[in-house]
Amino acid sequence: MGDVEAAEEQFDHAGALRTRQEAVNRALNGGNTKQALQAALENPPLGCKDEKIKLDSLTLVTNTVSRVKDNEIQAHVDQLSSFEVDTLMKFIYKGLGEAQECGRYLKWHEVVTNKAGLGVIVRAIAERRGL
Amino acid sequence: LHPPYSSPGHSAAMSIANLRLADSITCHAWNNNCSEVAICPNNNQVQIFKRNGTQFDPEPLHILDEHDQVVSGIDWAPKTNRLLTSAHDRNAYVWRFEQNVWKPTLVILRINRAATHCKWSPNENKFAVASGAKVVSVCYFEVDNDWWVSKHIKKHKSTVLKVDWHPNNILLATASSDFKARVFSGFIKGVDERPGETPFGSRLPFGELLAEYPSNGWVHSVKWAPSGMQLAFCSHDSTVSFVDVSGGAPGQLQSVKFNGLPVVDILWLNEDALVGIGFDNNPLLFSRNGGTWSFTKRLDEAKKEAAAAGANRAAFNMFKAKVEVGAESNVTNLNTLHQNLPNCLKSMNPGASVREFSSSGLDGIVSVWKN
Repeated sequence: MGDVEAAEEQFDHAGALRTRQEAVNRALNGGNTKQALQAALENPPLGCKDEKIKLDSLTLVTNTVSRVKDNEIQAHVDQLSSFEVDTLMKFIYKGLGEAQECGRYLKWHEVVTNKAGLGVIVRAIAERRGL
Repeated sequence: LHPPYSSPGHSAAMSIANLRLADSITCHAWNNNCSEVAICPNNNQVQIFKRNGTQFDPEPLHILDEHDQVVSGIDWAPKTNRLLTSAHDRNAYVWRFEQNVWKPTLVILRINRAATHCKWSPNENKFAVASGAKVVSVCYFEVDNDWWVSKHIKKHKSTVLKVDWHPNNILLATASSDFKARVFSGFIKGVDERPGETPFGSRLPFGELLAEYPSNGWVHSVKWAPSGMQLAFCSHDSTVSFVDVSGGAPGQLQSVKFNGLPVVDILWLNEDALVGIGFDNNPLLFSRNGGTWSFTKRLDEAKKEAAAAGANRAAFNMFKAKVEVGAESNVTNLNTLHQNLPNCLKSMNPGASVREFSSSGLDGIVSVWKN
């Protein structure tokens, strides 16, 4: 209802992005891609009016995803909660849409679909607050 | 028919009777003892078929031919045996069975778009019709003028896809393609008694919006639990949501995400179990454990391939398919009972615990499922 939308408008997306960037970079510097992935998927900027924040958020995910070997993708996806899996699929579609690391994202798309079925794709497409 | 098996707490459902009654079925409804089913075969008619246990008569008993366009909703009142039909021609008819013939009475709904769905109220003294006019027509019988009068519930921003009456005959839930499920008052002075306390209060003027629940997709269907203390709705984002209003409105909302394609109709089996059907052509069971709802299982067990074919036959078939079709297998049937979208679920023994329910779909099949 109205309250939820109002709360979302006031949410500090820029601040959340900075927090994410620090967490992801720290994890990646330590070689911990699993932690980096979870950090990158936190507080997704759904419905944020600032496109740059959304693109920067995507960059975080792309950076993480590009450092994961193909045979490790399954392990990375298995550790995610169902909310994180939904968020990941939304980023996958955004990455494909921005033509970033498409080969990678297609492999991730396959792994996520195997785990969460067609429902996760439906929810990524049906998300009304754009990513 | 597949043998049923039960895992602890949740049994599979078995289709005990099914038949392709038409090329495609828009909706269906049973009479009170489930001996007859009324369907719309995706045209302007309603056809009534007889059913005897596991057999359906393949030829219709009655054909009701009054609407001008596709009949989008059929509801058969169990106590008064009246049929209610609504169609894309913006009309609804109330039918009475007299001298072995179904006689229609036109209801002026005053809508300027198609009707999408219709439902008798529990006491069968009112009914609601959802429409593409962004309006729900709530109709009651005015004895003085000997006709049905309609009042409008507005407040929807797009087509209303389904309606469902609360057991108290007053509250009405609506499902809309404006991404919301809502609860309204359908109280009609002179027809309804004062409601007393409900989870939504006791002051319920007609048409008042009492609660609104958001969703990421079209809300395809909405249903009250038998107790009226829970509300469930399914949306096009592959979720089924449950609202517990036992502690008062708006209540606690739980959204269950599941792996399959979206569900378009739902049915409560009891306070802790709900069935949904949709684009996976398979009844899905959702159940509540310790207050939390989750997806449990698919009820239509996948048919095994015709296992009788020996190794030689299998090899023969494979090469034959490669030559004729260019692929290794030429099996085009889905391995579920329904071969196309099942879009209508009906209970066959309404009450606190439903043991038999039916589905009908765009593949023209009506199936009776036993839990």
